[in-house]
Amino acid sequence: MASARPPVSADVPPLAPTVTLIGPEPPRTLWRLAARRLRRNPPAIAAMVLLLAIHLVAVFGPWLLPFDPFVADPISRLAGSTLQHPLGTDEIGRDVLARLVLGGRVSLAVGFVAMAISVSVGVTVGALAGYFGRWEDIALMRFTDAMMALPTLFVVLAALAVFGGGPITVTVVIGLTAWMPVARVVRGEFLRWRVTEFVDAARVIGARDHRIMFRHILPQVVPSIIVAATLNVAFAILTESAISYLGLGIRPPLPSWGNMLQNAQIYIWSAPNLAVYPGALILATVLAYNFLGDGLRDALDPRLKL
Amino acid sequence: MRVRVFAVALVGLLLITGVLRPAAGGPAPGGGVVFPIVGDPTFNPWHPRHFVESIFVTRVLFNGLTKWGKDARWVGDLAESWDVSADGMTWTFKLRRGVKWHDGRDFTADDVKFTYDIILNPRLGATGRAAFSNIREARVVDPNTIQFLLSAPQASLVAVVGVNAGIIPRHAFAGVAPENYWTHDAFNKRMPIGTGAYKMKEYVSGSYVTLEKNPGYFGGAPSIDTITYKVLPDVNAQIAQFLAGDLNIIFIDNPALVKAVQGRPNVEVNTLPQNNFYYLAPNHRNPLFQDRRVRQAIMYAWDRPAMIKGFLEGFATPASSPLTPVLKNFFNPNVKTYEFDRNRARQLLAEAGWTPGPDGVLTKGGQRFRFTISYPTVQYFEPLAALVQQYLRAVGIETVLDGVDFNTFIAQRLLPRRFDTLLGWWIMPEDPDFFNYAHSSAAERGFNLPMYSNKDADALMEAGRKATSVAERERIYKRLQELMAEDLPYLQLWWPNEIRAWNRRLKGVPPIHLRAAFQWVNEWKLE
Amino acid sequence: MGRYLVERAIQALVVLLVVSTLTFVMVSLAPGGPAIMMTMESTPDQREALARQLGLDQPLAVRYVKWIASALRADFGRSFGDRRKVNEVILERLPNTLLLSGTALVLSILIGIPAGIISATRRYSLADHVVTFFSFIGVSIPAFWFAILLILAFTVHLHWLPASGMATPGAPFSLVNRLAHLVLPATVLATATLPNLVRFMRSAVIEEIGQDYVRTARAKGLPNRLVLSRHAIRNALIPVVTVLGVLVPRLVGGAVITETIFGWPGMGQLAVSSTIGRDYPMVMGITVVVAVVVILSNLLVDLAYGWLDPRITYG
Repeated sequence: MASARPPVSADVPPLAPTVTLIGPEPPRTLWRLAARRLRRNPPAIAAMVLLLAIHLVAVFGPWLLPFDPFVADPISRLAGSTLQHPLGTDEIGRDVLARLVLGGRVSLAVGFVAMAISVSVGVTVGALAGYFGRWEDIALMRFTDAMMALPTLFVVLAALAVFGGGPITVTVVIGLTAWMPVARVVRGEFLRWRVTEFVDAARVIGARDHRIMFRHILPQVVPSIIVAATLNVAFAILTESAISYLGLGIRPPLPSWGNMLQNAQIYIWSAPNLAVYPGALILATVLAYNFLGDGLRDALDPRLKL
Repeated sequence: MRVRVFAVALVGLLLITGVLRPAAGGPAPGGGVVFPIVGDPTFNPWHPRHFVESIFVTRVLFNGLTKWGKDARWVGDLAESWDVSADGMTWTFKLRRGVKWHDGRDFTADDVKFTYDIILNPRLGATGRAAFSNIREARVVDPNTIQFLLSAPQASLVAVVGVNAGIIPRHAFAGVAPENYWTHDAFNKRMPIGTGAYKMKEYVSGSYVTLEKNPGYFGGAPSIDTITYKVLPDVNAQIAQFLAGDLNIIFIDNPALVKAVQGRPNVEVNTLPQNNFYYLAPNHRNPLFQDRRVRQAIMYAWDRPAMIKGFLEGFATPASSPLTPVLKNFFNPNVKTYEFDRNRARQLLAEAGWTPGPDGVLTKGGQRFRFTISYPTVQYFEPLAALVQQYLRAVGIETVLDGVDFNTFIAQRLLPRRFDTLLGWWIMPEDPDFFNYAHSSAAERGFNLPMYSNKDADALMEAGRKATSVAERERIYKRLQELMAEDLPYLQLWWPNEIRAWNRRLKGVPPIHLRAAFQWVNEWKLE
Repeated sequence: MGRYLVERAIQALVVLLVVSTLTFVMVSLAPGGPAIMMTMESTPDQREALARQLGLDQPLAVRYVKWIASALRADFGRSFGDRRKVNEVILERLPNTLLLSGTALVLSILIGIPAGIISATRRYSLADHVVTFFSFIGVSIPAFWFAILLILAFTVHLHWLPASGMATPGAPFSLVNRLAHLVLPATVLATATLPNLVRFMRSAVIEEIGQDYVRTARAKGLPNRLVLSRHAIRNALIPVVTVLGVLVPRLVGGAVITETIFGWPGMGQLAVSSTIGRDYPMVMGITVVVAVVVILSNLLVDLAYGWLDPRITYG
């Protein structure tokens, strides 16, 4: 499954030991530089525009659309496009467009919340391991390795069997299977930054550990976190669809792109468009997030300024 | 250099360990029936893991005492004839002579006793043993006669000993202690020995089972060489393989898939009524459903023909009671029926004291008319529940959908009887005996899921079991259908049709449901 | 080296213990029960009898200690479904999963490395953009959707390839038949891993091209092609070995979906059916075996890394 892990590039340690460290730039310059680089990256810009459109529709669409995603009509089921149902109807005659829009809201919400969970856990674990080093590092990183050794879908299957498949469980479980790469990246960054002069300086003037970690080092790590976060949204959306395929995802009648795709499966012979729409939307959204993540990495990572 | 050596070694290793593994050999395919099953089968028909994927295999490997005939009535299989004592307490089955097991040994009454001893042993928990609860003892009279001593009369015993009740050989379990019967892999999972038309040839776990014809079959030598069951958990893969010609007969579980195979050259799609019944079971101990008018109102509130026409592609009939027309002479067509009529539903609910509240939902004494619909997330229950919810909302009944995976459904809803209503289905033996599903004695621990309790119905179901003549049984069960249509132990949805499709080259499949048709597989032909 | 291996082995044991304990607790607390007890037709006395047979009448702690004790002897007990030995079933299924994921891995390597090199050496060319685009498609496409599209195209419409299974039942062994059955599932599985390799290879080569020694080699007047093949690419391949370690769990995880769709009789399919059927011993056995495979592959990768890069030593 494409979703088994976020793209590997996010959790790769610095490629070569010869990378020259750049001191803490004033953030404004970094962001301005990044914005300039991003502007020269047409795919990333296109991805951003597409994502903006998708998110606006998902957030506001359900209130604006004159169609109800839940009203069924068995007689006019599996219908083609009409004025009443611009994208036709599903297996019990519900409006496909309305369900796609609401499903988008659900899928994106899963993506965002799961990302928030995975990033929070990952940053915490990575920061502690990287900042303190020694046994904290060893213990936390071995635990991270153990979690990485388990194929995500196995964990998800077992966890959903335990806690049931509500939207909250699904989201939390996805979030908890995606934090490991974030932790690795953050740990690496913390390892780098904690030995720099400006951290030493902070220590000399008596700053406490948590202050150094969160006020001094964390802001430097934000670019890497943003990249990882972007890729994790993509990962979460894909994983939700994979879990739905196994029948353990978000339960209808609440639509998600994943469960719409799953429901559409047995209709691929009679109404293939039911599978095409949600599949294409997942593909487009995840693709855009990946392009954006890649563009952000190029823009935010001074090391790749070749 | 090292990199290249490493890469070459890696690739080479994978190629060698992978593709070149030896595979099971065998004669070329062709001349065989190929049918999909959804998982690895278990070959012992009494094994607790004998699920639907095993039924189609064991019905060909083994024989019961009776089976469902081509002309839709019970006929002898391993039994030649039977009779019942005047008090209905002793049944005597005369066994067919000269029947041999696949390994050449003789089949005798000892094997029947051995099999029934397994079923009757409470410590083993054999699958389906609830159906045999009235049998007290199986007794060998002579090598060709077996007797069942009952604890209460049961006129439907002929059907009971014919449904998934394959007789297994005593000698295959020689030296195995009863507590190890289910772990006796040599028989259960590798080399079953039956009396059936086909015998075990090859089994590759997770892939397929191939049976080959048993020329000495007592029912007549089969014409087709082999039957192969392919393990295909995904229905779309089944359809794809059927369309590609890799399967030549399939069973279509969800009517939505009919369109995929209909109208293709060389494909015959056919359908027939079966003795199955879909329902919404109300919890009769819930005060909401204790008023019969409420139950009747729900029957008027939903448009079953519309659901069947739209949602099931027309492959079902609205049920007038749990007993189906497949039962022919026992079926009563003249019972109360419920057409789609919202006004009638509202009127009945009003009579029962329910009045619309401000948001349209009915209330009575400050209580809202609200309940959950529990269902397993299999088949088409998910969308079906959404439809039912909508129909009920239109007459002011609010429902909450509670779909859970099948395992959880059984463990947490069905067994503890923790539900307001549940969507389910019964696949019943072809006999009007409805005792197990609606008699008050089966409410807590049996299959009477709605916990229905009605003295008149109880009396009829008891009398039906005691009756000795067909005419008497007909009268009793026709009366029972009238009562059930009126009183609604189950809120009846429909009797689904069975849908099957096969390659036109396949001939001689009798017009009975496929599970039974497989018991006549020796008469099938491939042209 | 010896001490290093011992350390790794101890770490691996700890990881296995954590993983198996977590899994044991999770599956045991799952709602429902073994599928053989949870059928529409089963009655309370039947379920009690089966629970006794399966040892489920004992407290959780006792069951856990018993499981650990026999797992230490590499005996995972008997399935709660068809009651076969878990070891036996896993040994039947594991080679099939290794075959499928091994093929996908080889496919990824054979395509991913050259594509990554082309992408890196001709940065921002049309070829680079095409490779980049397709690798993003690869990580973004829902695997089961892609699988269904492939089945529709190559099985149903074109009749070129079989849609499921490992071989035609009953047919004599034939390499062609085997390969034909492998094509679609391996493609779907490789689609998820291939892009990582491409992206990783691309950045590794770009990194190497920027190194001083490459500039020196160029300054010496070596032809560009030679500089790339002799120096940059070879050194770039070294970090790529690490990515293989990350790909293995992805492949095994990916096998869950792929095997289910393509009816491939491997561990993934087994994991799905035994999780759904609450077959606790089988789930436990699979978890441990999968964790061992992943840990072993990580160890092999680390060792290979050290062997390929003389600068790294394990002491």
